Amino acid sequence: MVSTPILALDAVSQAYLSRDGSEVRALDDVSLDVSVGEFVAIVGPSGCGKSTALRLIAGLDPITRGAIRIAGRPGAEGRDRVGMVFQKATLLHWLTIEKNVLLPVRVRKGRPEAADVAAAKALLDMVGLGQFGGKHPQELSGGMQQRAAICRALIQDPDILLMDEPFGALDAMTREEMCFELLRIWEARRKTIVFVTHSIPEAVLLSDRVVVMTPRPGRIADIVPIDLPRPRSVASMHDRAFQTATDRIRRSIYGHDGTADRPTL
Amino acid sequence: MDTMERLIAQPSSLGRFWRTAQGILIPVCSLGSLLLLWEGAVHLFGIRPFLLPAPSRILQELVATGPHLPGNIAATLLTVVLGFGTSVLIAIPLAVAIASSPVVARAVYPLLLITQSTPMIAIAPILVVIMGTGQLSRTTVAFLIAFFPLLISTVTGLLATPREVVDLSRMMRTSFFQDLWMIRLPGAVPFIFAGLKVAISLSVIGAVVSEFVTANAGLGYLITQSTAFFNVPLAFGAVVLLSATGVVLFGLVVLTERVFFPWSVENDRIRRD
Ligand SMILES: Nc1ncnc2c1ncn2[C@@H]1O[C@H](COP(=O)(O)OP(=O)(O)OP(=O)(O)O)[C@@H](O)[C@H]1O
Ligand SMILES: [Mg+2]
Repeated sequence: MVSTPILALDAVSQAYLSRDGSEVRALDDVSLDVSVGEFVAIVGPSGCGKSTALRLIAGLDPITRGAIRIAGRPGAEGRDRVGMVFQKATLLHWLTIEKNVLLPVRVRKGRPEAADVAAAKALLDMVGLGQFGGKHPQELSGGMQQRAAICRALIQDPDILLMDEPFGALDAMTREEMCFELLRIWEARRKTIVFVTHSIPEAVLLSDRVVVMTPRPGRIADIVPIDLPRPRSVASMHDRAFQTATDRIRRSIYGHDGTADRPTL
Repeated sequence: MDTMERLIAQPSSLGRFWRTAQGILIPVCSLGSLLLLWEGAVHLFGIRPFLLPAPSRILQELVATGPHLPGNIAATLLTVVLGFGTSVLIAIPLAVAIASSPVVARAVYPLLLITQSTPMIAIAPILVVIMGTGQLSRTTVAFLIAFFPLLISTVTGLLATPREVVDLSRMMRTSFFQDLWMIRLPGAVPFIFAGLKVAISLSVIGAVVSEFVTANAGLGYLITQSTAFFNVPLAFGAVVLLSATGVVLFGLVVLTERVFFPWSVENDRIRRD
């Protein structure tokens, strides 16, 4: 795509000082352009800096070297356009589901207006939680909580949605269900999504491009375009393109096709 | 059917009734038999009242003192409530300051530790010299004893905010007060109430200690006065009233939590299950 990227990482490096004073290089010279409406997945072994990359985009950590631009502006200015879904749902247990979803609105303008409440209800309806707005988080299952957390990230109508292993804590079945749920949301709302995951099949199933990272220091090893037709379904996983993509990603992570230790969705 | 199945199969309303009955019956029975044992032992061994009065004798003495009791209870209550109230008003804002600023934490902690390691009973007479023999010095003693545990548990609660929730708060660009009011304080409520429960009991202790040193009314005063005249039954009576006061005040704190912060109690229950 030729349009200006909505998100641009320009030679970003990140170092953390560990307890013993030595320097941990979490990211090394990472450059990546993401265009509007694109679904990008980031995969890589544990500790390769995936979360670090998202935290930098979200502005949660100060950046060591390089620059991040959001919609052409320096990251710090474009941050209101970014929503985040964490690995854990992190809903506040003293608020109802609807109030949790409306929390960002309350922070921004004090009292939610009727239109905001309606928007929250519409979002909850969309993810199948219409009946649960008045419940408290602890009355919902893990998958339902995570869906509510997605609604909370969407209520501000961000251009970019960052997701850090959002389904990592769910069982395999719920996880698959949530993937298709997310694809539906993405197709309905056309957000730009950056999605971090440990699961190669999950990354391929969801995204337009998969960014493969290598650890210590975290570098981009490969960027794999996914040529699967949309909308995607369970059948997509039997497509030849699915196989080709997963094999290529495995090779760049393990150096071979990794049939011995193939992770499952 | 094994026991487990039978328990589950039992109609739940009957089960609940039985459990409530047990919850009341068992304590009443154990307390009742203890009192009977006490009463019986005193009569059986002919123990004299100024050594160990029988429960009936204590009751008799309380009834005889009847008209003077409300005034004394009120005096103690006043000290407890003032001391407890002051400790809440000072401990919670101070806890917020400590939890939000490492500088404040470093400046305040040594001071707190020193005052806390000093036995309040030792300070009470000195306070009377400084502050006079009035309500002020009594309130101060009750406050000083109740304050520290409340402060510590509130600070702990404020710092217990999970890292992801802190990130969430920063993603939403909360101001300091929004973060405090919407996220950290509600999250700390179970900790704050744990502190309040300790503080209310300690306020009662503080009030009695202060009355031992300086007072002309109150249940603590009643104890020193009656023991001075070897009226041990009345002293025991005052102790009973003090325990009752303590239990009622504690119950009020528990009730406040249940009524205004039901999720705090619920969440405790879920965590325990
Ligand atoms: N705040 C921090 N202080 C010190 N080191 C850190 C910090 N955050 C991350 N690191 C280090 O940076 C490296 C990358 O961490 P990061 O959390 O980004 O990995 P990740 O790819 O998300 O791993 P995982 O898949 O396990 O979540 C790790 O070696 C980690 O120890
Ligand atoms: Mg991570």
